[in-house]
Amino acid sequence: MSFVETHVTSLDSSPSPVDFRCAPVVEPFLGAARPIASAIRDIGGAEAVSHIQQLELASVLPELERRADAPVLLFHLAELLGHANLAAAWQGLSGIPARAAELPASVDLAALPDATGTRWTAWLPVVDAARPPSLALAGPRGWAPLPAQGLTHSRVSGLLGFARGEVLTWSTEPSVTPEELGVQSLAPESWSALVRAQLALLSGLLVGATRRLVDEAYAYAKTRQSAGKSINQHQAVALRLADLALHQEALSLYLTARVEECRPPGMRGGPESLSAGYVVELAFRIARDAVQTAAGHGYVEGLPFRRLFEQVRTLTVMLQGTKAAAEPVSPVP
Amino acid sequence: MRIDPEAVLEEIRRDDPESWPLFEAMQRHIPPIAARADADAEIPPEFWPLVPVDLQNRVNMPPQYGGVVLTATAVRRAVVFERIGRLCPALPIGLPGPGLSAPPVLALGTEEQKVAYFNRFLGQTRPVWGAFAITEPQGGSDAAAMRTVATRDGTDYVLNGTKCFITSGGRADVVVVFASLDPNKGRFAIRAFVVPRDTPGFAVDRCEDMMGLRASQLATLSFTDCRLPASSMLGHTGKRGPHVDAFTGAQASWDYMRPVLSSLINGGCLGMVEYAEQCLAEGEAELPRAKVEQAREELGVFRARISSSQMLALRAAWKFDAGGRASTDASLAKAFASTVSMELAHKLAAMFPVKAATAGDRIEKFYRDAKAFDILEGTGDMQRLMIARAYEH
Ligand SMILES: Cc1cc2nc3c(=O)[nH]c(=O)nc-3n(C[C@H](O)[C@H](O)[C@H](O)COP(=O)(O)OP(=O)(O)OC[C@H]3O[C@@H](n4cnc5c(N)ncnc54)[C@H](O)[C@@H]3O)c2cc1C
Repeated sequence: MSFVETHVTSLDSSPSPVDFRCAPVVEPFLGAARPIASAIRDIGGAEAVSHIQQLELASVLPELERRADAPVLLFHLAELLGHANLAAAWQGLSGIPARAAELPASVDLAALPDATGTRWTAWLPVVDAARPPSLALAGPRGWAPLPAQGLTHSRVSGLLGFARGEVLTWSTEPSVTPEELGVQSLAPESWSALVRAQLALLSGLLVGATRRLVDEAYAYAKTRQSAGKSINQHQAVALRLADLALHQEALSLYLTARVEECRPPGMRGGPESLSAGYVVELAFRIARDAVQTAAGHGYVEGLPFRRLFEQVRTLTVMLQGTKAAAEPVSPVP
Repeated sequence: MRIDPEAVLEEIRRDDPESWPLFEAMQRHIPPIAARADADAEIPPEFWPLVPVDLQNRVNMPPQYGGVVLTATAVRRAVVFERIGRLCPALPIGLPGPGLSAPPVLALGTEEQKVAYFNRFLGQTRPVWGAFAITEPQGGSDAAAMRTVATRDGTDYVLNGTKCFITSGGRADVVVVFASLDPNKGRFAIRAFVVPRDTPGFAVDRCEDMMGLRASQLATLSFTDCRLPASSMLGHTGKRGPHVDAFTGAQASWDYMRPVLSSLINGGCLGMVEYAEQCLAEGEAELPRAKVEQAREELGVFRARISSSQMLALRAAWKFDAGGRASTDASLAKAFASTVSMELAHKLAAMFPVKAATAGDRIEKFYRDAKAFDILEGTGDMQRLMIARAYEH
């Protein structure tokens, strides 16, 4: 956690029951990712994505004591890169959950089921329209390659805030059997790894995106003048800025703890136990207040506010969808 | 990141078998008296034979001056008071010990003053309270504009002024009082004085009839030509003109106590969520059946909020122990916890309107207690202004 790193200098290194430093296992990887985060900050999609791909994350994951630490790494990387360039981070990292679940190398992305058990959704970042990623349906007990017979398919081009993204949905006809779909078995650990990695990825992106919004709001409020002083000197603005920091810290700690499986009293650990309602509420407040800080200039294209406002909304939809797929009553393909 | 409060408690039990019984006694004996303490605005006398009073007096005091190991670090204080807060977040604020007065003594006092101050709390069989007095009737948030003055007279200082809203002020044996040597000179003229209760000219004018946190006996104290030896000024070395920035001593108190208070609030919130879930499970919901599931979901979101709040408090405590500057973290923790508690109180009142209107019910009491949290130790507005300033850099 960079905030802690820069603010606390005299910590002893013995394991202590309360320690807010980033899990040590991911530190070397974050060290390698920091220059990449700086490099992608203000550059276009394809170039930024290729920087992220230099991290060769897919080959790094198996090194991380099997899969237990993979979500932790993915979360922190997604935060770091998402803060620098959200669209590129999503595009560059979206294939990782399929690797964490050890789906066949031919599958780039897995579509996840909703509560009905007959409908799957994939949120697709289109990096290169000429080479769309290969997709599969996944569920707690198996995965099915696409295309498959007996499915209806719909496609929406353009995801709110991610202009080149797509939402793909598949529904099965009631009579179609798993055999007809070509379902192949998937170990329960693999399904769990897939969901955890997806939740970690989206959580990290959300933390990075909201932190960026907060940073942008503070920077804007420092320079924008009104009634003879910068707007951060007006108390109504300062209070809103404080709430931005407050909500962002709360969101960041909450999601970090879920991904790193910390258990403050009264909560279970693990990303599947996160309260999507709470995350959505905090993310919404941050996005709303950041745009409000820049008012008209936040509402129009130009500064990052407008785009991040929409992207945060989309990320929360994806997170809610993934959380629903992780519920214990998840459907079977 | 690692957060394992159980392991913290285990450490305490291992390191300090002496004060562990105090922790157990508080957990056992606070719940049965909480409602009465609230109704009577005092801690019922039958409480004292049930807890090891000598240990209770030494809570929140550093071990090198005789304090219990139970509260030796900020992380321990946070974990311990969160547990106690689950049972009642109000009464612990009125428990004996030096409380808020300890940090300025530690931050500003000479070694001799520290030993003398903390000795008052050692080896006593009756409860001994300390208090911290900075707020004045004309203003609390702008504490540096205080009007209580300390005038030099020979080798003494003469104190004149009024302090209000002083926790445990009515029963404190000793009060750390902030006063100005010259009100025209702002915060740098402020000094802190140790004022024993029996000092002539020191009076407890009244205890307030408070909405909540009633066991903590909020008092108005007055000082009329209250003559104090120069040695009672914290940091006074006997030499001429010590330049003591006593205001940093007040800040030290807030940095010290805000994570503890936040943890107490978080514990209180968690206790109330558990109580509400239990009421729902026992079919006591005052809601149409269709809304019960929604209520459960809303409580789930509150659990998540509380979990953020717990981590903010623990992080502030952890930074405090690491010696880093913890003021901003303490403000984040306090602002968040007090906001969550009031919103929870409001939500619970909507879910259980009859309980919320029944004197003595936990939901009714929490509604009153929770409002105080956004006022004491700095209002939510002031915390937010500090946060905004800190994040600008
Ligand atoms: C239960 C309880 C226990 C307490 N215990 C103690 C104690 O032990 N010792 C002690 O010294 N004091 C204690 N206090 C006092 C407490 O610290 C003050 O009440 C608090 O600091 C606010 O001061 P005030 O009440 O004078 O309000 P004011 O300072 O008059 O504030 C009134 C309102 O104006 C807002 N406001 C004020 N200034 C600004 C500003 N610059 N910018 C924006 N908004 C502003 C405030 O947020 C508040 O909403 C206690 C209070 C309570 C309720």
